[in-house]
Amino acid sequence: MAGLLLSSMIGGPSASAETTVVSPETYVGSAAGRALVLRVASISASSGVSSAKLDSTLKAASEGAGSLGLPVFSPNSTKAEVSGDNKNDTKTKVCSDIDLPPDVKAALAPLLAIGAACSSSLAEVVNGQPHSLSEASVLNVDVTANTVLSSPTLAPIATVKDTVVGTLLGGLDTVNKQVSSTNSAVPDLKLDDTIGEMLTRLQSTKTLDLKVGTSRSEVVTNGSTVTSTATSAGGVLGLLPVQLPLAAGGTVTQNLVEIVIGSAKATATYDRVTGKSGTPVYDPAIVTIRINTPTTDALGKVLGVNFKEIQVIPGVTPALIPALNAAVDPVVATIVKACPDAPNEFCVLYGTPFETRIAVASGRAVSNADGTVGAIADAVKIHALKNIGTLAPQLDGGILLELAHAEAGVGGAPAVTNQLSAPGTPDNVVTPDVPRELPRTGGTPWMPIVGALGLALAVLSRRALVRSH
Amino acid sequence: MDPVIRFLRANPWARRGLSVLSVVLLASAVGVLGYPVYTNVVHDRTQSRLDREIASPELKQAYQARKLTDGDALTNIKIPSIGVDTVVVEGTSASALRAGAGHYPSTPLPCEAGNVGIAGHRTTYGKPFNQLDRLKMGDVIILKTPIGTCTYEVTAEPRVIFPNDTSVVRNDPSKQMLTLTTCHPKGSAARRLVVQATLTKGVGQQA
Repeated sequence: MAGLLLSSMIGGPSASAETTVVSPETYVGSAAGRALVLRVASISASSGVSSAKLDSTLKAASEGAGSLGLPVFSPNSTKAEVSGDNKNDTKTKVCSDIDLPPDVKAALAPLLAIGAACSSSLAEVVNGQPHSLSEASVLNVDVTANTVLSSPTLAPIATVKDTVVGTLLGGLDTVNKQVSSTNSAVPDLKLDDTIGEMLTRLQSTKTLDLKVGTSRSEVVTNGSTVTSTATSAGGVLGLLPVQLPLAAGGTVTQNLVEIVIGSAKATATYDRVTGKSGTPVYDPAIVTIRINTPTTDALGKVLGVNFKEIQVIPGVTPALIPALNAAVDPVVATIVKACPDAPNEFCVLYGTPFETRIAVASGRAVSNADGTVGAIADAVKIHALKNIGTLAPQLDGGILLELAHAEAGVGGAPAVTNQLSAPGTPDNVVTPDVPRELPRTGGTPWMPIVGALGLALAVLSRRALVRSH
Repeated sequence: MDPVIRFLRANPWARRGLSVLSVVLLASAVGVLGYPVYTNVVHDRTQSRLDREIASPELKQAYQARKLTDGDALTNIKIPSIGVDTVVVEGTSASALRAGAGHYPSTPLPCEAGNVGIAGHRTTYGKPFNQLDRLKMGDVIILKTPIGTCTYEVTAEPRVIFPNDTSVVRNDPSKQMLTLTTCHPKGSAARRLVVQATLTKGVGQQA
C-alpha cells in the first residue's frame, strides 16, 4: 500500500497495492549562487547571494540576500520556507540602498559607491512536488578614484601622467613608431598626445565601474526528477572609462579596458525512480578582456586583426593565447600579459597603479561518499587596481573581487520495497480495511458509579445482616 | 424495630441470601473499581515485554519483511510535551490495545509516506494518550522504529469527532503525516479526540 502511495508521489509507474515500502524514499537538492564578493580597504562583503534547497519531507526553503556584511537602509534579504503539501511562501523582490560602514565611510565615501541590492525568494510544494527559488543582485560598484587622482595634495596629475605614460602607453608609442617605420600602412599615431588627452579626460570620469548580474538558485522537483541549478550572471568591470570625441561631434564614454565576466552555471539532477544521480554539469565563467585604446583600434583596422578581444577560458594560460605574444602583437601584449610573478594569471596594465589581475578557475564535479553529487563553477577572481594605493592610500591594496560562483548538488535513495504478491493481481492482496469505527480506548463513565453503588449496597447488606442477629 | 431486620430474623433463608448477595456485591465493586489498576498492571507487564521485543533482531527482521502480527511491538512513541513514552504495537484490536497504543494496520508503517495512524488508551492500560488534548501546534512527536527514527510536528489543534468518522485514518499518498486517536471525553467512548502531525524529519535525515 505504501509503495503505491510512494510511487504515485514520485510520479513513477504506479505500483499495485501488493508492493509495500520497507524504508521510505529520501532525496535532497540544493543550489547556491553568489554574484560578488568584494574586499576593499576594511570592507568585506558578499552581494547577490542566493540559495535554495528542498527534500523529500516536502520541505522547501530559499533565501536571497542583496548584500551581506554591509549596512543597508532597509532589509534587502528575503527568506521563504514551507513544510507540507500544497503550501506556498513567496517573498517578492525587495531592494535597498547600501551604506558604507561608518568607520570607513569618511575615508572611502568619495571613492566607493555600491548600488542598491535586491533579492526575492519562493518556496512552495504543489501536489507533493517541492520547489524553491531565490534571486539576488547588487546593481553596481563604482570606484571614483579620479577625484583622488585629481587632488593636488594626494596625487598630482603630473605623477599620474608620468606613471601611466612611462610604464604603459609610452611603451605603446615606441612600438607604434617601430611598426610604422617598417610598415608604411601603419601610421604614427603620436600616442603621447593621445595619452595626454586621455588622462585629462580621465579626471572627469570614474576609475572603475562594476556592474554585477543576478545570482539565481533553484531546485525543482518535476515528476521523477529533482534538478538543482545555480547561475551567477557575472558582470562587466570597466577600467578607466574615458570620454572620447566622436567624429560627428560630442563624446562617448569608453572604458580603456573592459573585463566581461560570463555567467557561471552548475546543474545536478537526481532520478527518483532509479535512485541515481546524473552527471553533474558545470559551465565555468569565461572572461573576455576588451581593449579599447585608440592605438589598438587603429592598429587593428590597419592590420585586419581584432586586437580588441581576448577570451580567457579556464585552463588556458596567457602563454597559450597568441595575441598576448609580444612577437605577434606587441601592442596588446603591452596591455595584457602573464603576470611575471604568477604565469597563470592575466595582468592588465601591469606595473601601473591600475594593474588588474584576473584568475579564472575551472569548474569541477564532485561525488560524495553518501551518494550525493554536485557541480561547482568556481568564481573568477579579479584583483583590480592592485597598486592604486600609490595614488590613493585609502584604497591601498586595491579591490578584490570574486564573481560568478555557482554550485548545485542532489542526492537521495529510492524507497526500498518488498513484494508481497505478484504484481497486477490485486485480488491476491490482503490489505487491512479501514475500520468502521475508531477503536474504543476510553472505557465507560458508568463503571466507577456502578462500582461505588455496588460497594455501598454490599456495606448496607452486611450491616443489615449484623443487626438481624 | 426495622421491618427489614424483623423480616430477616423471621426468615433464615433471607439472611443466607442477603449474605451471599453482599459478598457478590463486594466482589463486583472491588472488581469494577480496581479495573483501571488491573489494566495498568497488565500494561506495565506488556510494556516490559515489548521493550525487550522492540530491541530484538528478530523483530527488526520481521519489521523489514513486514511480517508483523497483531500485538507485535512496532514503534516507540515519544511526545515530550505531555510525557508520553510508550511502545506501540501492531493492530487496534482490544487485545492489541492492552499494550496502551496500537497502529492502525490499514495505514502505512511509522515514518513512511502517507497517513500513519495510531490509537491509544486515554484512561486505562497505562493511559498513554491521557493528555492528548493538551498538545499544541508545533509540539514534537518522535517515532523510533526498529529501522530508524523520524520526527513529526503537530500541525493542527486537537479536535473531537464521532467514532464512525474514520476518514481521519484514511491514507493519503500525497502526505507524510501521523494521526493519533483516543477516546473523548476522558472515561467515555462517546467521541474520539484526534491529533494530526506532519513529518519533519524522515528516517536517516539530519536535523
